[in-house]
Amino acid sequence: MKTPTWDEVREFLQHDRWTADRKRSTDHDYFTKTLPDGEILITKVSRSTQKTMSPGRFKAILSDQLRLGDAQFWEVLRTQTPATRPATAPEPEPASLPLWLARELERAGITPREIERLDESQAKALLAEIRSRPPGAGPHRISEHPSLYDEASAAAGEKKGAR
Amino acid sequence: MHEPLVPTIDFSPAKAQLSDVMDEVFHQHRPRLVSRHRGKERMLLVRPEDLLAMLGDHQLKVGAVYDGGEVTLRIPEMGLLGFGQTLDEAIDDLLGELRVYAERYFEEPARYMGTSRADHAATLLRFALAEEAEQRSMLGLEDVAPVPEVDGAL
Repeated sequence: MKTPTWDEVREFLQHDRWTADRKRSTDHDYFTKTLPDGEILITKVSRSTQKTMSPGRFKAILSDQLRLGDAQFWEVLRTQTPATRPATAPEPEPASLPLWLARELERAGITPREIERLDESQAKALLAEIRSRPPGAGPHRISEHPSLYDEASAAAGEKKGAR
Repeated sequence: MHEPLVPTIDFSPAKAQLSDVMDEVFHQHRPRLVSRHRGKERMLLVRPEDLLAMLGDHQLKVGAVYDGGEVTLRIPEMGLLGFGQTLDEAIDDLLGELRVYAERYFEEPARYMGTSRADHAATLLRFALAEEAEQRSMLGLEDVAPVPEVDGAL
């Protein structure tokens, strides 16, 4: 998935007619857009202009804040005209884990790269297995779970299964 | 309008006795309604800590997206995102986002109360009045339910 730089996001917001919010004391600039039905969209843009982002983050911005699909985003940049909402093909919500579950896995020594490969049921199963281990059993290694590890490796970093 | 069940005082005496009214609200934990124009306009005075308790628990549903060495935290119901290279960074960023949203919301409440964002008012008020540790706990950082039994090995 092609992901934009923050400069491109800023350009998108200009063409899609978002309004700059007043400066807040954070590292981001904020923009709002009021839809014809009165709904208010809010997004933020990093001041790191040339930096891009992961596909997961871009999907979250599209689905949760811009309420558009990826194709529409690039179409707005190409045509320099506002998007049509509601979107005909909105971005599906990105796969995510409950925050407490992600935190527990990190506390148990599972790395972010390993967590990235897990869907929620796999993550819960892994945490249950870790918690069932006797005290002093040593650090947990995800490679001890061939069914998770092999498929995830074969997928070359792609998330395993549908979430 | 029915008889108020919360102790009520008219505006003029409330203004004249504001120190006593505040003593009651703060020290005796007695909320007071202040009323004017024969009850057409009213406001409620309540100690913030009491209001926090009255509002009860508001746990936000936060999702974590791990991808490409980045962590993105989402509160889909509010359309808020926290960014970081690590989980801790993303948590701090999300807390900052909630503070900015609460600040913006209570600057222009009428703008938000007429939309589906009206549902956020109680949660944001609770967040805005809470200490930092309590704000963090609203993110649901701790496991509240046991991990269910899973059939079969991984």
